[in-house]
Amino acid sequence: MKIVVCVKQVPDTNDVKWSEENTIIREGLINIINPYDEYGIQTALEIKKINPDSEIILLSMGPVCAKEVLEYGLSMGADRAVHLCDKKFSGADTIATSKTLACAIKNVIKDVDIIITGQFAIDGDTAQTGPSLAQHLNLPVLTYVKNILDADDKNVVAKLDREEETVTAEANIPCVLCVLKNNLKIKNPNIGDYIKAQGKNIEVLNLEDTGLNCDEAGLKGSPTFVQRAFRPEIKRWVRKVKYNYAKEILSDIREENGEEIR
Amino acid sequence: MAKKSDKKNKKEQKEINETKEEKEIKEIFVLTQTIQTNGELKFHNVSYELLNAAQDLASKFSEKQKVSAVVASNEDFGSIKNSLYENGADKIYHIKNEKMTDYMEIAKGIEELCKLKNPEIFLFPATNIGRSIAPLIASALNTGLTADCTKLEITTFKDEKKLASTRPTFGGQLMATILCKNKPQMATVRPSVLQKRTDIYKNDGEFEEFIPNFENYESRVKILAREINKNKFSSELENASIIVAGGKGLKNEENFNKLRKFAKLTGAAYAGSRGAVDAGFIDKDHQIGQTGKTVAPKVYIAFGISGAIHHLTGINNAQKIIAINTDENAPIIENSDIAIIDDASKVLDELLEELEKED
Repeated sequence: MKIVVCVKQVPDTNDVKWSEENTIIREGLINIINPYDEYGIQTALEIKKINPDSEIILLSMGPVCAKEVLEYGLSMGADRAVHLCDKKFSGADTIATSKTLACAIKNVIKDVDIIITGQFAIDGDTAQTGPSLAQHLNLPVLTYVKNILDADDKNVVAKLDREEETVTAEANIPCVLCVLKNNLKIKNPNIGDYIKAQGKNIEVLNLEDTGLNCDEAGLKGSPTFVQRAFRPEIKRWVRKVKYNYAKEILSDIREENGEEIR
Repeated sequence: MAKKSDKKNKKEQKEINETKEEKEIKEIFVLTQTIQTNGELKFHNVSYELLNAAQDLASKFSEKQKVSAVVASNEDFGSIKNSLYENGADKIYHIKNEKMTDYMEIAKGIEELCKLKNPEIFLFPATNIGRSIAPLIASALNTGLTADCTKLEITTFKDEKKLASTRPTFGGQLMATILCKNKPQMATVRPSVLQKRTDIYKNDGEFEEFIPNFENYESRVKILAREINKNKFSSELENASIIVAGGKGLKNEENFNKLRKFAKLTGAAYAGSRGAVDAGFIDKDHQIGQTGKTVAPKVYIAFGISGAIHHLTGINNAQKIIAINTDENAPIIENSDIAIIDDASKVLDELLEELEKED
């Protein structure tokens, strides 16, 4: 079975600093693997346990430094990686990104059975790339995948967490799975794993290699564009309370509740 | 001279285009969502919030602009149909087809309707279903989709009226206003971000049934089982008027049990930050913030939450924020209305004690 896991390198947005000109200071910003994609890799490893002859291929689009997350994923146990790296890819929105990924899968990796993406990425949080990728490849997609119950060469059975209901669904292979964080234990690579990963292949592809039309990639190929970006305003005036905390809080609750509070 | 006549031609052409545009004003579509509450079929509040927003956009777009509610369901919603007109719909499209059993087919049905009607703008709820099917439809129609918008406006860009969708990005550190080159201009909005109207728009309106033909379509996803999560009321947090939330500053599970107790005693809903969810103190369904839920309570009480920006974007619409944190420089402090600089678990104990005293 051929399994592709799409991974994204994201800035650790917990740790963003602002300049005096209200721009984000990019220097010193730590890049991490999107946490949902770690579960994607782990899910692929679980499927490989049921289907030992599987090959796990990581796929990432991003600048040169995105290689780091591919190396990390390889040390987690993926077999090889494909890095889509070209200035012409930059500025892509979710439609252009998913088209680019789709072309790499269709034209270069080929004959894929399962494609796994994280349900969200913590930087953009659009949750769009997975379903869009499925649409471009004309494949069925399962979103909000919590667990894989079974996978063989014909079908994948998964539990989906749809808030009000839990759904058990079966998708025909080939298909796309968008996974949530779940109770799988993420493999923590050790030095041995990293050394082993160094022997694994990371194939670097540019626009031409993917077979995608120049007009369909990057900023050019994106139907959306940013008109303006700005820092969110703080619109509250804080009053610091020094004494009688409990009374202060309870009176606010009471005001809201009327007499309902007991 | 040639230049001049060129200019003139262009101008004439523009006028022709304008009259053409006048004639065929495209609709604004809103995807509605039905929910079952205690065996009763209702529209999710977000449907009404979106209809109101769509009506607001319509009034700024053109006088003749219509707002159409799209209902993609095989259920009989006749008894609640009028609530859509009351909340801002001029027209209802009812998409139905026996083959429409899950997300993939619903997306296909909506895609067919779009190809027939070419809407100008299409708004989706950023719920589980909306976030799953909107990207399928956008990709099929080769148009742009802006996720989780917090503000929708009409702007003029290169002499054309456009939907301007503002959303938090970069984990909420930055707000971006995004425009779309193609049509329909699509956007998703989370529940509780926008307001539904307080008056009645109209009592009745147009109704059109649309049965997609699904020609050559073969379903490749089979639903094997559905299980209603009885303990999960997804809209509970989104509709709560008081929310008490805990962060990593509450330190342990015992304190989270106290938080639940306090919520119960005061009739509040309880929630947590991403940090608290990652630490396993609280279930992901209760997570507030960018990768969790967006809420708009009257009072939001944050116990030991530092207020990372991705959390703050989820509570922006709270009327009053009370923050309890030991760190005076935690971002939540300057983003609150009332701040208590102290240990969150200690304050929680005090609150429970006070409530017991009164009992």
